[in-house]
Amino acid sequence: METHREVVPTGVRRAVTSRVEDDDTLRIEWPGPDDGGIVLRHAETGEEHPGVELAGLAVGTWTVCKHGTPVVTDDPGFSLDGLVAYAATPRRKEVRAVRSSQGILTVVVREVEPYVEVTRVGPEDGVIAVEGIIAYGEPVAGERPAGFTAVARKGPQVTGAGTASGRHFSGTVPIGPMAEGQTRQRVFWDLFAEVGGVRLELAARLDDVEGKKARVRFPAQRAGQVRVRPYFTDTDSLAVACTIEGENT
Amino acid sequence: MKVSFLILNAYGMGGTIRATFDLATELSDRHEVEVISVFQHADRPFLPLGPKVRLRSLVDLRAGAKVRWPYRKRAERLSQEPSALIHPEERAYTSFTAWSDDVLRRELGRLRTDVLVTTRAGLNIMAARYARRKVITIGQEHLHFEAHKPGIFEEIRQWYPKLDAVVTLTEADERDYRRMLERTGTEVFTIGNGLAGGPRPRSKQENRIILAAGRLVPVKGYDRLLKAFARVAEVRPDWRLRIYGEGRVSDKLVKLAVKLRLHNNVTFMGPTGDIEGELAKASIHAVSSRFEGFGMTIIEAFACGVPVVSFDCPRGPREIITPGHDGLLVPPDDVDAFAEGLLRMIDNEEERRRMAANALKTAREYDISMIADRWEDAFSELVS
Repeated sequence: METHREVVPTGVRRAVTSRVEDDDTLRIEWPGPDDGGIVLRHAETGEEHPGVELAGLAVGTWTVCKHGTPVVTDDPGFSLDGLVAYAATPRRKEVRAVRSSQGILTVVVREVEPYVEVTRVGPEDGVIAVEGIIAYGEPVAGERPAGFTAVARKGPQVTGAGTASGRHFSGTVPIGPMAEGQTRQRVFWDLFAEVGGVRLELAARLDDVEGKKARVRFPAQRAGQVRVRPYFTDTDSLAVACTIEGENT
Repeated sequence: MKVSFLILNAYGMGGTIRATFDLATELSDRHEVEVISVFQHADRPFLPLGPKVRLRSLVDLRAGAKVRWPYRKRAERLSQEPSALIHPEERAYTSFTAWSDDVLRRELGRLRTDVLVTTRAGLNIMAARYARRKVITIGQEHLHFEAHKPGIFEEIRQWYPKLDAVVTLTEADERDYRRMLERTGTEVFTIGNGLAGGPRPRSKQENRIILAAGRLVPVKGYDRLLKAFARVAEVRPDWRLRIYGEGRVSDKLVKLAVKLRLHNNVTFMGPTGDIEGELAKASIHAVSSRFEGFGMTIIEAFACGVPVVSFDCPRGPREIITPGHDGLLVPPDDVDAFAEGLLRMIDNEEERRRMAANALKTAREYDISMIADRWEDAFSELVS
């Protein structure tokens, strides 16, 4: 496997740690004393933002600079647990520290909506079971029933059952009713949780894996002639493909 | 001193090209260095090469490439004929033609350099046969001794004694070549590949990620890794395995992962241009190979502060990893033992952190400047 060589000049001070904290400040730790001077530069617009307070930053990728040169970091920028903890706070914007393949520290700002981060998918025993945690939304007090539905694109919907407890969500939806009466060769279903009257998407985004569609493969179940397989969509949302098995499949 | 490296194709990507470029770049601060590529199919090399290294090619495969007068007709004719000088069992045999034979023989006959380092069996044999006597010839072996098929091995046995030296990647190979070259005057040195590129991102040992990387081909043993990891995931379901790379058994492996119901724990990450950045996100590097000629990824992992669990397969891993110090070696082919090794690393966090710190120190021994020093020592020994 080939590696992408860093292009930064040698002798440049390298950050040991570079993380976005829960309060949207950028924490950079250096091998020696910190002399400040951090400026973020928007990759597309060139807009500059002084300091490490990141709240209110425009969407996009920001290059972190110090005294005019990009900051080089030895820190990948996040931990998976850290991303989960960060998503415990309701937010409309997500800010992440990301080390580019050239070793440069960038800050990536995205708009987010509350959703359920999928942590476990169990396609077995005639149901699709999902576990997850509420990300960027309000947790529920105590344990209470939650909705869980599968909605066919241009088609009907199948209701399952779920539970929400604090940040945690779990739910199951039966595959029998999804497959029943299917006439089209292939039908795609989107999955939604409903917690406290709010419809939440199910997706897996609290990591650095891009394009899960091609990277994660779930086992299939069969309901009559229909093969039922969960999958991640192009936007890393969890969906289900129901395919009638025949000579052409 | 002038040092020339002869390589099959400097414009592609691969371990030999990278190792050669890194070494040539490092040596170019000390000597006049050139890389001669037998073939050229692209305008520029894919991998980085130092600005002081001269790069040239012998056979231009690019569309519209012109052959110099008076060779044009001859080139046209001979390009259609198979190589007669390269043994059909040389793994790159199909790349060679009667025309490349012709060009290569002429080049070697007139090449004025102090040291010629050739980088694969076919080229080592060509250097032994056709290089000028005044040139010190060093045949480098990136493959291990037993990897050569019988036919080409006979040629190796016949021609390597004409080389001044053979350089192997492992001491195990050095022993084999020494036995073969006894009383021939050909020296044998072990010099591993060096790690170039300066400082690297570093793992904080905070993600429950096991990383494996390499082409998805049977020799890498990913089927066994998946089986071992299935046992790990049973007891430590919050740990994940990331496999980087692509290759012909990709479909098979995905199916196996589904069969083992690892869909919540295994991600096939595809190829990456930044393996070091990815290593820095992981806590353990798994090497499940059936065979590992050297084990460059082990050193890369070490350099990012990631300890390694590896099968004790031939030949590289045991020469790099000190078990219990910077990694673990488990008996080859023993899937249970591999799972146990991974679990030991997972469950003993303190030990893992200690191994991670030691791994960083081990990696320093493979710094390209140290490796270049060893090449220089070999050069001086051969000159005197």
